[in-house]
Amino acid sequence: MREWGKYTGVAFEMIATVVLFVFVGRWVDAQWPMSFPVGTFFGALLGVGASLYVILKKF
Amino acid sequence: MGHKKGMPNFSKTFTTSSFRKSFVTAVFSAFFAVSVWASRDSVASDHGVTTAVSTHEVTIANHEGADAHSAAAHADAHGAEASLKEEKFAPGKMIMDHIADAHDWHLWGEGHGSVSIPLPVILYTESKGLTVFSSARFEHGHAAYEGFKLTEKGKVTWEQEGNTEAIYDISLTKNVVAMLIAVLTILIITLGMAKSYTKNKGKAPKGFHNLVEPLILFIRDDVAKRSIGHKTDKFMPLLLTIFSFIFVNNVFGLIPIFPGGANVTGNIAITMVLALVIFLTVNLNGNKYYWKHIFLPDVPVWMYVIIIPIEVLGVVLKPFVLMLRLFANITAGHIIILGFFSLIFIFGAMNQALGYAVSPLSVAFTVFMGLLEMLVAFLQAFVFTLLSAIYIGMAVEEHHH
Repeated sequence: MREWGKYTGVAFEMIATVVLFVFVGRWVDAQWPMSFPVGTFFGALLGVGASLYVILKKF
Repeated sequence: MGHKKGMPNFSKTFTTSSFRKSFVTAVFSAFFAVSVWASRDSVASDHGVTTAVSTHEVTIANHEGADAHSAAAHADAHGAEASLKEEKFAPGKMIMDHIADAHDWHLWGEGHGSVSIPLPVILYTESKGLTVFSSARFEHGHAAYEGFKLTEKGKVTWEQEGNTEAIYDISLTKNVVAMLIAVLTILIITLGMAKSYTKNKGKAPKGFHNLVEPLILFIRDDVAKRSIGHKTDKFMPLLLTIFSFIFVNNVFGLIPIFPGGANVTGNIAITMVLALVIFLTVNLNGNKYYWKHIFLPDVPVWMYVIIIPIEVLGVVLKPFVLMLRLFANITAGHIIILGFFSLIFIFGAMNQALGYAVSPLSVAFTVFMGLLEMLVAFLQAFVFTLLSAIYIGMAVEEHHH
C-alpha cells in the first residue's frame, strides 16, 4: 500500500507544477517585458520537464 | 465456494444478468405502456386541437379538455401542475437550494406552500451581542426580524442596505443538525457495541453489531495495518472516526426526507476541515525521513531549486485533493438524482403527456443512481480513509530506500 501511495497525487502534482512554472514565467514577463513572452514560454516548457522529472524519479 | 448437496443453487437461479434483463424489460414496458396511455388520454381529450404542438396555449387547452373528461384522480395531478404553472419551475435553483446549507430543513412543497422545519438562528454582532431566534421568523425570506433578513442565497444580512457591520453566523443550520444526528447515530452504535463487548466477553457479537464489526476490522486490518504498519494503533481512533463520520453522513444524505437529505459531506467547508485534520496529523507526525525527502531529496544539488517547491506543493496538494474528491463525488451524486427528478417537470411543462412518459424512465434512472450512490457512499468514505492512512504511513515510515 505504502509503495503506491506516492502515486495517488500524481495527476494534480503534475498540473500544479506546470501551472506554478507558468505563473513564475508570467511574473518574469511582467517584470521585464520582451518582444514575445519568453518567460511564459520557457516557464511552461520547464514546468512540463520538471513535472516529468519528478514523476519519473518516483518509479 | 462449492454448494452443499440438496441445496438449491441460488447463484444459478438468480443471476445478475437474468435480474438485469427482467429489470430492463419491466422498465421499458412500463415506459411504453405509460406513454401509450398518456398519448391516448391527450388525444381523446383534444377538442379542436389536433396537433400536439408544445406551445403554452395548446398545453393549457389540452388541460382544460382533459379536466372535463378524466377521473377525479387525474384532476389532482392536473391541479398540481396548474399550481406549478404559477411559478415557473427552475431546476437549477431547486437543485442548488437542495445541495446548499440552509437555515431551515425543507420537507416538501414549493414557494409559499413549502413545509420546512425551522432551525435556530444564532447571530453575534458587536452592536447587538448574541441574538437567538427561530428561522421561522424570516418566513422563508419574506420577512425581516430584529433588523436581520435572509437573502436569496440563504445568507443572513442586515435589513437596511449599506450596513457593513460584520455578522458572525453560528446558527444551527441544516448541515450542523445533520452532523449532530450523524454523530449521535455513531455514538449510539459504538457505545452500544462497547457495552455488549464487555458484557458478552469472548462471545460473537449479535444482530446489528455483527454487521458493524467486520467494517471496523476491515478498516483496521486491510486499510490501516497495511498502510501504517506497526504504528497503526496510534492512528486507529482517528481513522475510524473519519471513516464512520463520512460513511454515516453519506448514507444519511441519500435518505430523501427529514433525518437525511442534507448534503453534509458534499459541503466543501466540511471536507476542508476533514482534510485539514489529515494535513495536520500527517505533518505533525512526520519523522526525519519524511522531512528529508522533502527538503533534501536524492537529486543533484542544482535541482533543489525545482524539486523543493514541487515537493512542498505535494504536501499541500494531497489533502487538497482529498477535500475536492469527497466534495465533488457527493455533490455530483445529489445533483444527478435531483436532475433526474427535474426532468419530469421540465418535460411536463412542455407537454403534459411528455411529462407522464418521462417519469417512469426518470424514476428508473433515479433508482439506479440511488443504488450506485450507496456504493459511492461507502467507496468515498473508504477511499478517504485509505488515502489518509497511506499519507500517514508515508510520514511515519522508518526506513528509507
